[in-house]
Amino acid sequence: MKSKYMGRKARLTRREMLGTGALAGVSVALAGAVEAAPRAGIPDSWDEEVDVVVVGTGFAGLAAAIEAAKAGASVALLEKMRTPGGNSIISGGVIAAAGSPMQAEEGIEDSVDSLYDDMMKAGLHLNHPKLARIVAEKSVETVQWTIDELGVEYRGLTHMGGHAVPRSYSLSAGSGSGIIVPQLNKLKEMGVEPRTRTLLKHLIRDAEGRVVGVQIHEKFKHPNMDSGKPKTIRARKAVVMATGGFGSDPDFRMLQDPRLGGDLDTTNHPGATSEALREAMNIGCVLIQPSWIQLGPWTSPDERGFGYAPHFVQGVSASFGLWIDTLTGKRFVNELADRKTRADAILAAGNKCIAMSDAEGYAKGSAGRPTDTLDKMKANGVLMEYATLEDMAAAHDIPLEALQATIDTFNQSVDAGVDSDMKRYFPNNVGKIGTAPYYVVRLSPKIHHCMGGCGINEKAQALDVVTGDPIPGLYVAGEASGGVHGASRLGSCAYADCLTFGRIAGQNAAAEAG
Amino acid sequence: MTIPTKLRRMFWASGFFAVCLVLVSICFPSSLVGQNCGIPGYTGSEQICAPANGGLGIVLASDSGDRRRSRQQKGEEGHSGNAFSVLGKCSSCHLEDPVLPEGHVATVEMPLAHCRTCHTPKRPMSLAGKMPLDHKHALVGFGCVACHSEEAPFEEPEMEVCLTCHGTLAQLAARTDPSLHANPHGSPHGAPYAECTLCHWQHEESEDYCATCHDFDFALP
Ligand SMILES: Cc1cc2nc3c(=O)[nH]c(=O)nc-3n(C[C@H](O)[C@H](O)[C@H](O)COP(=O)(O)OP(=O)(O)OC[C@H]3O[C@@H](n4cnc5c(N)ncnc54)[C@H](O)[C@@H]3O)c2cc1C
Repeated sequence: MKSKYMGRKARLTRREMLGTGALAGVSVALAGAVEAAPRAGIPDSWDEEVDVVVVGTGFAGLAAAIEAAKAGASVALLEKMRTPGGNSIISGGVIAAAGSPMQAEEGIEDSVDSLYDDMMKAGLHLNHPKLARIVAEKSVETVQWTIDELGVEYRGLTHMGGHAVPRSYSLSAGSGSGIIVPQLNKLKEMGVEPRTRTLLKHLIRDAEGRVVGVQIHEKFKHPNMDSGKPKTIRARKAVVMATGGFGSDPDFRMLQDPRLGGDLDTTNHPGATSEALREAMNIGCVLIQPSWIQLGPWTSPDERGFGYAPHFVQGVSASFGLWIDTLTGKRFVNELADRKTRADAILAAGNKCIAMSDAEGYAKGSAGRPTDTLDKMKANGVLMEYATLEDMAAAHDIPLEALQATIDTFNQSVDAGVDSDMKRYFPNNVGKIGTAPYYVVRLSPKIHHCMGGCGINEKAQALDVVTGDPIPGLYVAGEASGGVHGASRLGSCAYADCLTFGRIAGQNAAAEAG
Repeated sequence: MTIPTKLRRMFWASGFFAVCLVLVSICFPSSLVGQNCGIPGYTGSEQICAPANGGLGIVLASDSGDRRRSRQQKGEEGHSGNAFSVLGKCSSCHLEDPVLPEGHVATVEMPLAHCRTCHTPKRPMSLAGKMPLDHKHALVGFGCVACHSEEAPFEEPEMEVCLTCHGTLAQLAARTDPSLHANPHGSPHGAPYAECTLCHWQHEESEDYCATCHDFDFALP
């Protein structure tokens, strides 16, 4: 029978797989571990040979492919899904750059150290310092690269939670497609096109420990891991694994953090699963910090996935409105704190919180956005509009007096220029709350980012689980790698990480002796 | 009226090659040119209605048995021979399998435009999702070689092939139901999310790819 409803039911299927997966694990253990983790041997003859195999077509994979091709390497660019782009193409469209030209224009002072400090603080200092510093140091160069080499367009700066100052470039396109599409175009010019529906099944490591190629499945049909036709590709120089995180893989998520099981929604694309990481472990990569799985604090239970909510919750309410605990009518967190702080606070408050703004706050926070966003959010049922504060309080069971007092305090803070309650950063144009109508989005954190992944060094080389040394011929970049962000990634730092280390991986892969 | 699930399943299971048998006669019925290609919401000009291969569509010969010519299909099993039949004659491929609900009017020689007298697009009885798209293409006169090469291997055609008839992406986006709060043909995720085959499949049931992440629930053909 055909793959009916494959994508539509993919989440459910994975959830179902969770059960069978656990059972399979038991029977495999009984049958012997050798069966469970077969390593691919070196084929008698390879079906194809290239210089560099790049797996994954998100920011990291495409950046690696561009650099490798630019250095003259022949590249096979593999992607298991029907469409390229992974999490990158559906992402929110902001990239951090510390000390950038746009900041200079706006008179915002910033530095590499400041970004680095913010990353380390949010990461609870579990970040691998050298890796984090590379991302901070190269942040401006990376954004400039997207502009100069790819022709990417940005519309302004955004202040993301946990950052000392506004330093995040916002893509004009409004989503990661604003970089992915130019990356794909660039690659097309260079004669490299993604081979979609091509699954990385095995990494092939030779007797000397070098990764010499891959076994793939062509015509793969997500999520059926046995689908497609096996084929081998020899990588004369190296393999770059840029396969992203595992946010859509409840099975693997639960192994790392048993609280994050199948019932939780995620912002990730359905292909964000763990098989490539499992294979990396299978051939001797070391997985680091995989339990640090980030929940996004700005999502809504009234829609699936990332959806529309973050535009309002982060873009509008966090800077120009308030987040309210509906039980108390009070603020419960600095709305611009890092994600972990905020998601934890929402959960601690019983997951009954809302983000709100008044009409003026909405106008300020949504400047530059398409004007129909408001209508779309309302039509979708994710954003609710109320003619009065009383209506809003009634609709969400918020004690009105307490709510009014919270708003009064906030308005006094605006007058004073300092947030007495939460010490939130105030932009120049922050205003008092009081102009109807009022807008509300309900809050419910969702699985968003995997901080952990393969351990790598500063050259993006994967590290061997036994020796701790680099595995020759294997690079890992982007969300598939671990260490840059420690316990919690700051908003807009994944773009910087993925593009920076993707480029590093591609350059170094192409520079290997073939 | 919905076709009972079991029947639908049989219908789908009959698959791709079966339909090819029905698609064998060659002439392009002049009656179809200048209509709307049978494409829901399609209001383009007749020029872009011509099949990509330069005006030669394999059609189900309904109008004139005399003009009907069989094309010898080479290659795989089920893909060969002259076992073609007339437009809308389900039994030529589905044999005894009942693919239509009991009491359905006879469909023999019925082109898609006539099906639509009852099965109006975007109305409850719309055929969206109820019939493989290759069948619909066949019923408006577009057979295998309208999209594929004449010789195996029959690869997935480039998107340009679809756009030859269906208009540019911008035109498609403009024609998409404006009451939807998201335009599936104008996704903010960019060009890769506008690939026709991301959602619209010919020989298998189409899939709302947006629904892997969103609640949009588009009724897609
Ligand atoms: C909704 C959303 C919004 C976000 N917004 C932002 C933001 O605004 N700013 C920011 O900095 N970060 C943001 N992030 C995080 C950031 O987008 C991701 O961390 C980043 O895009 C990851 O890039 P990547 O190249 O590592 O992986 P991905 O973009 O996920 O690409 C990995 C690719 O590898 C493919 N793949 C996986 N396994 C295999 C296999 N076995 N074989 C073949 N292919 C395989 C996948 O299908 C996928 O296409 C957001 C994330 C999400 C989900």
